[in-house]
Amino acid sequence: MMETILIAVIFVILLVVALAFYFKFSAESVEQTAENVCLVSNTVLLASIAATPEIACSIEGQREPCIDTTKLLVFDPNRDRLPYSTICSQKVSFEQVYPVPDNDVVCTSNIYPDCTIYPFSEPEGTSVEAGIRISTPVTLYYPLTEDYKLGRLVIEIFP
Amino acid sequence: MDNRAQFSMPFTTLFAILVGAILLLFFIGFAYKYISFSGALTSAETVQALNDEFAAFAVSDAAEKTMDFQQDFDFQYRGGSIYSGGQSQSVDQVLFAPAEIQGDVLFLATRAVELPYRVANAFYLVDGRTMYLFISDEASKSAVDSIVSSYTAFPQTFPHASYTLEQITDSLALLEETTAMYDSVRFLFFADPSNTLLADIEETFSNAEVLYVESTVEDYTYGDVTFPNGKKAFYLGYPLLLGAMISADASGYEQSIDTVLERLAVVTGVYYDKARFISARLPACDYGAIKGYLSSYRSFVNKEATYSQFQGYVERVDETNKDLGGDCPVLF
Repeated sequence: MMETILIAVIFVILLVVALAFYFKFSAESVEQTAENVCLVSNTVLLASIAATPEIACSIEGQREPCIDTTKLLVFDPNRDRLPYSTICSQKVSFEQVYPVPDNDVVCTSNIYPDCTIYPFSEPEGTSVEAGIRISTPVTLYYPLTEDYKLGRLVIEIFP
Repeated sequence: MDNRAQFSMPFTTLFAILVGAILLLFFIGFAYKYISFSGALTSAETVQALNDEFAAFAVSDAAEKTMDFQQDFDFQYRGGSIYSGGQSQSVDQVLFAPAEIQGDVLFLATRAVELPYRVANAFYLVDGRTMYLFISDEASKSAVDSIVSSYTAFPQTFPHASYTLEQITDSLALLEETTAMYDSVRFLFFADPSNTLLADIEETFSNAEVLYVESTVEDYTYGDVTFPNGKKAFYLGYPLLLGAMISADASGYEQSIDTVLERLAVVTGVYYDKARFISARLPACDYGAIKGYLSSYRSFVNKEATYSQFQGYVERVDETNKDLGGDCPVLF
């Protein structure tokens, strides 16, 4: 009788230990999958965000492959949600790259166009450090002067 | 001693059976949970991948794609979300699709919605099990031809054909044979069919649905669609007309129209704010008229309006924008 109980107890202990290991590796695998999906989604976002009508150039009825900087100033994605969502949060901004700026100046309506960084969207509670930073070149368009400058769309991913 | 042994043996056996049964139940339960979890994970990945496809596709003004999944899938689309294997994912984009999407190949297409500026991309997702038949008369033939053949109109990868009222009246039986491979046939009338023809369709086809497209605009760019359940809804431009043709019913279509109107209000707000910003920087330019039109357009956007009212706003805003230029930059 005692031997049976002892064997059952040992078996259960071994089972619990095995399951604990299994769930640990399984959880890691799910987390890895989630990170991959997050990275893929943000890479897609990197390619598609510039085509969003809220910020993309439209000149004389024709869509142009550039970012309208006046739209960046007036559009607030935190108020008017963008039609893209990912399973993780991210910070999006546009930066002027060429002509090479002397200083990094954040753009507001008052100092436009003498500025170089256009913050676009930021997740709530950014105390966590961004894990991955991805970027792609974009053309920044300035409708008031009809100028074009080389810029960069930057996405900082918060896993 | 003998008595104790006689008592001990069945107890040990019962205990072993009980423990064995509990363990067996545990493993069976675990296996089921694992299968369910694994399926849910795969479904979630698939649906998220589909959402990413939409986002990537939104870069284009007009594009089509055939996606071969190499295995059978079963999606449901309702209430703005895609459901698969018990998992759901709300779709961020303007998607028009039948309620059930099954098979191993998906047909995806997109078209830019412009009212008059680009507002969003409309996406169409079908599984190729429905044949779309365009029926026109003398007055609507030219519009139907441009809807069917233009690159920016009806997706060429979706099964479709176009006929005149006379052609279809004469050859319903033949048409039933040629469309027998499809699960359903959707008749899209750009003309008034006779009651006899409708009765013949109902009699000949066991899987037919009828939609009516009506418009006072010559090229049918704006108008109303009447769905099989008799409910009527407006469309604004060919991309939304295609959406009505693809949608399962009026409620599915109106769900996507709500998203379009929401985006229209947002984008109109962006252009209004841009007009205010530019006019403050360029006081010599008169942006008063377009600011006024954009402001009233944004306030006006609603589902209860008529297509003629929308058309009026679109044309006024477009014309006023075209009046700008030179030192006073156009808004779009």
